Amino acid sequence: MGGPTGTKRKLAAYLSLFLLLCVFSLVAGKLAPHDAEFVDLAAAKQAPGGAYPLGTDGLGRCIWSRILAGASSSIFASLVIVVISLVVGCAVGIVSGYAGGVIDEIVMRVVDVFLAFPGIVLSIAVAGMLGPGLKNGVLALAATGWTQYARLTRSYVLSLRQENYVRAARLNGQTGLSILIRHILPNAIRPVAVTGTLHLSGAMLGISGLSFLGLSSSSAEWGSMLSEGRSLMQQCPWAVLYPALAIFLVTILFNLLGDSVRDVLDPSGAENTLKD
Amino acid sequence: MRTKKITAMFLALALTLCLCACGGQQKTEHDTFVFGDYVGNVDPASGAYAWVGMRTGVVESLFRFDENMNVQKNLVEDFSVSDDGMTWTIVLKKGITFQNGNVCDAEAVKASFERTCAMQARADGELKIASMEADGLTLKITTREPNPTLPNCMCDPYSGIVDVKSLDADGNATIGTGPFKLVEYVENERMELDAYDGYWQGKPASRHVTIRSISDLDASSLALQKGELDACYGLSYDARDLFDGVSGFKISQAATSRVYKIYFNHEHEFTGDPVFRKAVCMAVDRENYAAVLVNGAGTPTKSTFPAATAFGGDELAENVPDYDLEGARALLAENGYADADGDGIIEKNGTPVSLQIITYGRAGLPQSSQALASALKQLGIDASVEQLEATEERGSAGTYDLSVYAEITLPTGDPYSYMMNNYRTGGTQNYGKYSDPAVDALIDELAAEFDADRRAELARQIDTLVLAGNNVCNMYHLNMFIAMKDTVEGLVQSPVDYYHITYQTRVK
Repeated sequence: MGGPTGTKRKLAAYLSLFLLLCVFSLVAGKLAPHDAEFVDLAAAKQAPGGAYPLGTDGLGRCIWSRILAGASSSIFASLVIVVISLVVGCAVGIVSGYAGGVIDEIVMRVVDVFLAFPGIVLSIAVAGMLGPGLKNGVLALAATGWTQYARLTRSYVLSLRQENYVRAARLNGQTGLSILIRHILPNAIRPVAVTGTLHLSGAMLGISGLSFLGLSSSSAEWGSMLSEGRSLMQQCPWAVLYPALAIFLVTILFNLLGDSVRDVLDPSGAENTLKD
Repeated sequence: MRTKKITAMFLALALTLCLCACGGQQKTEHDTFVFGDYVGNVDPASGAYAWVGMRTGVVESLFRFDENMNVQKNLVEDFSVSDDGMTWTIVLKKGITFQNGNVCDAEAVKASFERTCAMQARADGELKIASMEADGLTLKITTREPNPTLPNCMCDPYSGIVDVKSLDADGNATIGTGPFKLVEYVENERMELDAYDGYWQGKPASRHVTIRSISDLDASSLALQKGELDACYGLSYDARDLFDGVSGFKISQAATSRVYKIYFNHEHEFTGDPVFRKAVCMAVDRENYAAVLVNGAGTPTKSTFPAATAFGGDELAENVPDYDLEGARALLAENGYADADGDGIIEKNGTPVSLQIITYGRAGLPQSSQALASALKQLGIDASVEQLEATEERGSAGTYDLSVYAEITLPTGDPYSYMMNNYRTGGTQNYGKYSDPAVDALIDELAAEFDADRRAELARQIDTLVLAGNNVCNMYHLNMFIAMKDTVEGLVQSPVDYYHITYQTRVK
């Protein structure tokens, strides 16, 4: 596997790529050779080449420009989903695990209700209720993504609160909030960070899936590009191929990053996964 | 060792060839016709799916539309109307029988209409039948008020004639006078139809018809390409390229009366201005919308009704401009629309011009909306598109500037209902709140006019008045098409979607 130095080096490489991608997606729209929303019916369904390096779609819009313009919404939507899910899930998990008793029972039953439905089905239902739009798509996916963090954090809090240093802090007269923030959260954050990075790729596919179904962004977004190009798959495969490739490559990068973060922060988890 | 390898390779090749051959044999039988279309209840009184019975050749109506949407006699030998316009005398053709062998006489037709009117409010409201008298093959119908469009309404699928003496276990009337008899119906999946040899026009060319419903449009195209279907209706417009002019396939298409149009909110600042509306109309590239957005399945139009009918034609729309972005830019500039602050958006009296376009998901509408918004942006108009499930609620509430919409203009082959609903003050679909007393008066005259030529003239006058002020902007009429194997005969797309399978439909 390359040893601890190798895994750290891998993490550094993937993290650099990830940061580069984030920065690139911020400026990508400016690099686009054409206006991503400009409809040029005379140029519809043009094969890759010339003024349109990746061809045009059924409305004559430049696919390369749309991929670039869609990068920020697709990538940052995934990041926002993970951040919202992580913050909400951790807060709920910590409170539930530390308070225990009735509060824990109620919170966990709510989590059970959310987990009773397949995540994407619940997201589709929520997005359907909220209406189309990227913001609503993000909210729909965050509304179902927080539960995994809540369960994870709670389980760590349950074991950590029995630790001697937590008991000592309690005897020392520290408040519950102080113990949560100063002693429990820092120790529970590692597995949460690992889950967060692994969740990135799922969020990416989730937002693309909702866009594909017409429940998220209607402007240049990779999932909606796939949906719009689907009926042209035989005549103009490039209308589907390149957005799909963009989703594929970014998802792969997110997965590799997640694996590296896990290898570094939680090596035992990685071993367990291999054994499974 | 080498011999073994060669033998293994040979066997693998042979196996592959066998499998390919198996795939190739999966053909439909020539006496069975397999058609991809919607499936549903064939009972004409069933409401939403009343047209299924007529499309599948199970049910027929007394009258039918020809290729120019003119009303023609079908099960009828002769008909006349009294001078007061209240009593219609209809004489049926001899020798017509239902698929169970029962004779289709005036008594059976009367019973069929009575049942449908009792079950379906729209049929009762449009037919306006007060009473009926049956005598052999002669049916006398008295209406509640003069109804000039009674023969038109009798083309509508709800007017399909069924044998009410033979209802199925669920109370549905499934026995009609058509060339095919329903033998099995699996909801959302398929219908099985057997030929009825006693059909009045002759023996059906196919012995059996299977109607298959495939909800995914791309899967339907693949099924036709693979040979699982002999023909398919309702494919995506992009799929035309896969069958039109492609060896082994052909398409049949017809311009329908479904118009893709823009209606304006007359109560809003910019869209209430006739000059601004004219500039928006100049941003509509009808030719390319019809050629590209629905992949050639559109006929550009300025008039409301298809040019092939007596009510349509672009000569009615002399004041409706052609696509001309430069002209639109100049027109706006001449009338005080200018980008004074240099932000790329034009202003009128200091207010930036922004438009909220609403539309819904019917194929071609979102694309037309995006193309229009893109063109308006080139004029310096900040246009945004909102795609809704349905636009009627927002239309009624007036919370929009313009709507890109599609609607059938001649549901019964007559212009009255469309004009009444869309152009008359307070009409149920006059969402833009358009109002012109002269148009209202002409529509009221149309309501009671029996003379066909005068009706056509009135409809043309109304359309001319409405279009003169660019109160709506018609873009294109949709062509519907059926894609099929090139060996299919007797399957023609009609301007209405009521007739698909006929007694002549078959695979050669």
